Amino acid sequence: MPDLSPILLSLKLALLTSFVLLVIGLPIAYALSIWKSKAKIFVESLVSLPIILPPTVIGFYLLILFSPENLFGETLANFGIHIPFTFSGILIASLVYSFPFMVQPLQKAFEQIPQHYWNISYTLGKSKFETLIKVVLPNMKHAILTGFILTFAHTMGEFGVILMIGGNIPGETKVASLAIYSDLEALDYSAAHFYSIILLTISILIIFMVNLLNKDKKADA
Amino acid sequence: MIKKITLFIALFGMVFTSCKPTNNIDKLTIATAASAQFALKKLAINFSKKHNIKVDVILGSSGKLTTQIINGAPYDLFFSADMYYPKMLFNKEKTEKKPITYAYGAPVIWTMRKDIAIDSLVQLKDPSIKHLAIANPRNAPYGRKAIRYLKQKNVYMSVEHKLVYGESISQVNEYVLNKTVEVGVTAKSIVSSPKLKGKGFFKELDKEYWVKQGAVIIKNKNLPEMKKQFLEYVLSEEGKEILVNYGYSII
Repeated sequence: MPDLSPILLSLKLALLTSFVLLVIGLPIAYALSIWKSKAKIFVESLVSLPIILPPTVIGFYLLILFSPENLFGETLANFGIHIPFTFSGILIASLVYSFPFMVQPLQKAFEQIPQHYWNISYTLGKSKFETLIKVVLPNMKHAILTGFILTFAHTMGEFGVILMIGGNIPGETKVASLAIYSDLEALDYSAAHFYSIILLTISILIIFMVNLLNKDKKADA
Repeated sequence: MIKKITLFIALFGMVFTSCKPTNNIDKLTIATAASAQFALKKLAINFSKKHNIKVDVILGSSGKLTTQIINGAPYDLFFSADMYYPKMLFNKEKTEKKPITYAYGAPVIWTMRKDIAIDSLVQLKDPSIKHLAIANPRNAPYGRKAIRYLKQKNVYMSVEHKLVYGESISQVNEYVLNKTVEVGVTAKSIVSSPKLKGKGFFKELDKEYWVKQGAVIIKNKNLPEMKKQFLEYVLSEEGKEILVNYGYSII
């Protein structure tokens, strides 16, 4: 049986990306949902940019930014921090690449929470933070789950960005999608099939879960 | 809810502990031109057994691997399909020493189809041959030789529209093997490897199109002695024999 480490590495990357993005995505989505300014549309466009930006462009700029040949990358390297061709590197790339998949559903959910939910909670003497934790977030659990699952799925299938900044290093940056590619390069079709079938199964399960969630949501409403 | 969270954390923990970074284990990482993959893998396996050390072989076109090394990829040795990229790395002070020529590689014209006479360049012009795959000449030395060959034999103009560019020689191999293209230009070290021996028909190009294969030790702190020994092993009688068995020429 082929080595399972690429699959585990993909899972680790996808889970970490989803968690970190949930933590940074929530405050950003909340800020965007209440922000009223003409500049908002620019920031929103910036947030959605990774959806349409070719992964190679993201990978290229990240590589340039973090390359030890350039000032920023060199400064980091002097502190012993190496971003290209490391797990931290593909994690940073995934955070950028999957950012909109987390922020967009969260922002929409914040916007859909009726203002009176907040108001009623305030009149009952709850603070803003308490209201957020106890009233608002539980009411948007579908969006949180959707964001999490979409981010997870998007990261599992990530290829171009990781190829550019990751360099296909076993146990470090060789995720499942890269393993398929390099097995194909080595004409090892059985290993490529093995990883592909696992990814296919995971994808089917994810789509199924998203649809199940949406059905639940409709039933709730 | 608490149960669910506990379960989730447990799962998370399992995934994490199951793939702890293997950085602290002694390991050589060898970047290898796609054309040399089979020979280098064999050499790596033998070396790994002899010295009880893990050896990872990473594939790519010579150009792509060079870019990665310039950008700080943690490779210990680099086996290119030419001398140009190793020299470039040497000039950029990324290598320990000057590049060493470890073998000569012959480009071959390769097809799976019996009815194609690969000896005849005229046939490449024939409409029955719709695609001719070569490795991207911008980053793959064998692709560059293929273009030069076609140009010097005066068929380039008439086959230019048929050219399909593989990202490295590996992609050319896939195309030819899956019969996505009728003909491709690959390396003798590919078609002579045990894995592909006897598959299809190939014709070796003349000596003037052979490519000098260069190797360098990349400057880094990892296992200086082992790196040297690996290169010495490739250049040893045993290493040479393997290279010859895999279709390389030693001059």
